Amino acid sequence: MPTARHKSVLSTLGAYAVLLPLAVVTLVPFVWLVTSAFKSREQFFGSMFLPRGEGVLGVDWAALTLENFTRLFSEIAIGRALLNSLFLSSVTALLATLCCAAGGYALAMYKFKGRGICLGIVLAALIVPAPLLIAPGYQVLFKLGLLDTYTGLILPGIAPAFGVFLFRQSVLQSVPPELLEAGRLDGCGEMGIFARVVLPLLRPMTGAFLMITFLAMWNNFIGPQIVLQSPDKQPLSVAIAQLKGVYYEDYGLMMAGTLVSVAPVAVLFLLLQRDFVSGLTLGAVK
Amino acid sequence: MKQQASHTTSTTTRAPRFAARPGWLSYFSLGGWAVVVVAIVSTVLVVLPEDRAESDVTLWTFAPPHARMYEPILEGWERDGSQGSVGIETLSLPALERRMLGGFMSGVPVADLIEAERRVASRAFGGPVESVGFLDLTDRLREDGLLDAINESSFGPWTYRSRVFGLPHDVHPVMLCYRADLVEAAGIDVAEIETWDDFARIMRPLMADNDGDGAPDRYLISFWPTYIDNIEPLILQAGDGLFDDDDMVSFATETNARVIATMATWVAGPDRIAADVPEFSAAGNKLKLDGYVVAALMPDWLSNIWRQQLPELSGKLKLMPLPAWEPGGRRTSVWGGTMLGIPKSAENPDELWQYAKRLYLSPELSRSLYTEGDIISPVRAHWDDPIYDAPDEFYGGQPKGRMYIDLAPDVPRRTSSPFNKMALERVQDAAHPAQPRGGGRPGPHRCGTRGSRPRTAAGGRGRGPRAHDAQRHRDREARGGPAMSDTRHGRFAPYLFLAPFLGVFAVFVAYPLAQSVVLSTRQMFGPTASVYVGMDNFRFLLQDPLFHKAVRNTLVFTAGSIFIQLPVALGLALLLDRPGLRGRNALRLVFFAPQLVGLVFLAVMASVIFQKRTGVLNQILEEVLGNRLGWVLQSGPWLDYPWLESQVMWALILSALWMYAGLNMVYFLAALQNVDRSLREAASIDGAGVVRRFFAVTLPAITPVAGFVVLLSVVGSLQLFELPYILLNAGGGPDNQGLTIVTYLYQSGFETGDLGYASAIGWVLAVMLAVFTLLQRFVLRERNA
Repeated sequence: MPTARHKSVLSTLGAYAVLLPLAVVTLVPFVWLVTSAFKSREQFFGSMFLPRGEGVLGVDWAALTLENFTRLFSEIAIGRALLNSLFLSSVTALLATLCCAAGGYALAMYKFKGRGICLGIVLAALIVPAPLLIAPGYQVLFKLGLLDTYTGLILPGIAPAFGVFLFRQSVLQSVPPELLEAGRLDGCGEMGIFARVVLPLLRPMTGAFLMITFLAMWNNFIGPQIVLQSPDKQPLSVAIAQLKGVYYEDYGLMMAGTLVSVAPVAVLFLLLQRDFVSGLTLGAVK
Repeated sequence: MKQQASHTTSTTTRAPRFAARPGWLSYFSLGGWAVVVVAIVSTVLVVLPEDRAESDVTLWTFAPPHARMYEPILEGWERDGSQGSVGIETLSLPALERRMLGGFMSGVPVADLIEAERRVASRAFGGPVESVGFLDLTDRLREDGLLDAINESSFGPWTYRSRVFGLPHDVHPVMLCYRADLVEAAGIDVAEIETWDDFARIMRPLMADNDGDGAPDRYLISFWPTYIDNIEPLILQAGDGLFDDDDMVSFATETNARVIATMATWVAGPDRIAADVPEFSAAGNKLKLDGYVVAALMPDWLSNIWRQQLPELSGKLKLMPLPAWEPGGRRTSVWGGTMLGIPKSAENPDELWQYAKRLYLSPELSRSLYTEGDIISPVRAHWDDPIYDAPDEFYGGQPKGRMYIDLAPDVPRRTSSPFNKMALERVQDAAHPAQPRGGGRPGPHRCGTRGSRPRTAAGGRGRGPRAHDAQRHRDREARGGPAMSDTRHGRFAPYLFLAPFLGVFAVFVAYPLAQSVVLSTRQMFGPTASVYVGMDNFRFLLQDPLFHKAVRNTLVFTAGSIFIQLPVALGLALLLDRPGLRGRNALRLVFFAPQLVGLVFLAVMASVIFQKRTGVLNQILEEVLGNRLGWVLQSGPWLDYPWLESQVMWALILSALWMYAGLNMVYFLAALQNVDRSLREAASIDGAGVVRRFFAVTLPAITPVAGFVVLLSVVGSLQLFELPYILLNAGGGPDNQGLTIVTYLYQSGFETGDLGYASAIGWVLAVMLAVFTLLQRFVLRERNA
């Protein structure tokens, strides 16, 4: 059917016509980020992107420098900060994904006493304005002796209400109850069903949620400074945020730091995106 | 769920094979397992024991350069054994602020010594003098003769009800910095300038229109009507300030009116001489290099930042005392300031006082303040040091330090009031000529009205509890959906699965929340003092014009999220979900990429994009609308269009679009994986068009998740805080155009110290959120039914 093929080619071209300009607009700030990271302090404000000069494409390539990166590694304990970031983000993301998936699954698939109340609590927790809790929340952490511990930062974030609700919706959408019955007939325990049947079915959402919770911790720069007091526990986001002061700003160093902190999460995104786009769910059910 | 039902038979028969699959690898995908591995490895590395030296005394500061200056001095003490070790912790200012307030409000330990910037320190100064979290240093200062030894005005920002709570770090006198190369080339003698009127008249020839487009390409001074940091020094210079000696607001004076009227002529109208060239921004620095403005206000610390960031201007700049507001008037002002304070909770204040004095009064520190930071010391005895007389090559060989010191005794005194920022924002509104307003507007809200807040009996009742009941009722009705496992299987399993959520909720949400209910019935004065006011907070809220504005702004943003951001996100997801689209992975990464960088980068980026003259957005508008379509629209206005002054909400909505569209796209993409492709293909073969296919097949399948994304967007938008906090400098923006409900909550609770009112705002917001949530669930249920 040549007409159908033509139609499909045309519509693909149409999709590109929409997507590519949007992609360019989205990327402009990143071009600025990357070029800024390689400019010296002297060059920084001289040009919007790359310093102009005699070189190829009218760019003064010789003026670019790795100075910002060498300073980043020599002046800041960036190795430790990176390790802290990886630790905090991965552990929080894993725990949050498991706890939210479990909670959402329970709400979606079980009949039990207090289910309505639990769902009400989830919805209520969704709508609590966070700044309302800043002062009393800090006091709770203090009373529990969790200040200046990683636990104090991780624990409050392991079961965000929006995650529980998201997984409840996701379970309703993609877990057929019949499959659970089949699992039970097979002699699986409730935990086994959750791990072997439900989690794989939820893969698109677990992938997306892992990414989102990982990033939320990765980019959080105020929370860690409040809960974690010692400098050697601070993550990368804090190290970078501190380069922007009130009376003080080091753009080149900050952009180099931002670039370093973007790299690991970009890799993670490329790894995880196969989950939420590969259509595994249907393959498992059919 | 319709399609799931149709698969029932096949599922049951195939399921056993699925469940019997041994591979625990299938619980997660490759990416998921990567996270697991990272988590395990990093946990092992992190828990490995590490030697950490315990310090005798800890000091919090917010400025890395300060830490760098103090370290050699403190190490010197340690070496000669004269004092114990001091550990410095450098925090960003918001973090230092929150930790400090956390300590003062709830008795959580803080550092032994806290270095606080002026705006942060002022948070501690409200309510009765006993409730200030810092130690009263007045008697110690007097006994040691320091009240006379230190420049008098430097105590101002740390003096509350005649008591001094901090040791001053600096004086920060302000001069006028000008482009000597341009001024001298034009044959202008700055010695002839005594007043601001002289300045405008004598410098006038420098306002050049080089390209003949009718608009000047050079202005005389960097100033704009929302620039609080410059408005304050100029008002203080004139003499009346915004607060009286008792820290009560009193800015309706003739002098202030004249100053504000003059400022208005600077920024608009035929005599305009000012243009915005912001500090700390790439765009602003570019304009400085271009000579877009001739002069700028310059405190001592800023002269160091220009030296660092603008090496090309070396030798081209000079400093002069500020032009006065009237002949014979004051020739300087003040901008910025830091103190060192001892928290009241500290165990041995006398010892800490010795530490504080020894650090701040040391001649070594005075020297490094000047040599490394161009900052002059507030300690008068150190002013004889010849380093201040050395000619500064960057500033045209002038003895810069001496010039600042000569002005130091004239530096005006400032208030310590936490309401200062709010008062300045009202002045900024008054100086904003773009939005003329009638006289009927309510005055500065809640400033200086401690304890006398207008309250009337009118007002509505809280609707909170009833809304929750309704919700519970609805959920009860909804119970017993199709084919739900009942408790026969694993009686305890659901409780076990929900335990983490419920535990965290009880400890970290419910308990603090209960405290905030109590708070909402009290009016607080500063961190600890409060009185019971019943429902008055709520009654006042109903007629509070600022709260109304905040609600309006927040609803506008929410509408932007739902009607612009979500459709864009869904559109991206649908396009990227098309089979046979090459480069999908890369494109998805591109659209998600803004999520990978944090808000700190967004703040820097926004200044690059929304800036008036050098901003990317205006340059594009100028190019496209101005030059290309010049025959349709006149060129000119686009380049100077003040987004961050006139279109604050649009700036916020556009920033949020860039930042969050990719995130919502991911949710939609995940949901789209559930759309039965064969069903879509079948519909396609049946001749259904794209639109019909979307509504008949795609939309029903993604409704559970899509509904959630809408809910999340509404909830997130109504709680909008961090984005404006970062973009608008922790405030509401010009004329509070960008004030959101949560920003107002934050301002009330943490800036002006009434956590009671803040809690009331929070509860009203919670009710609004509850209403939206119920409404949305209702609408979705209708559609499903």
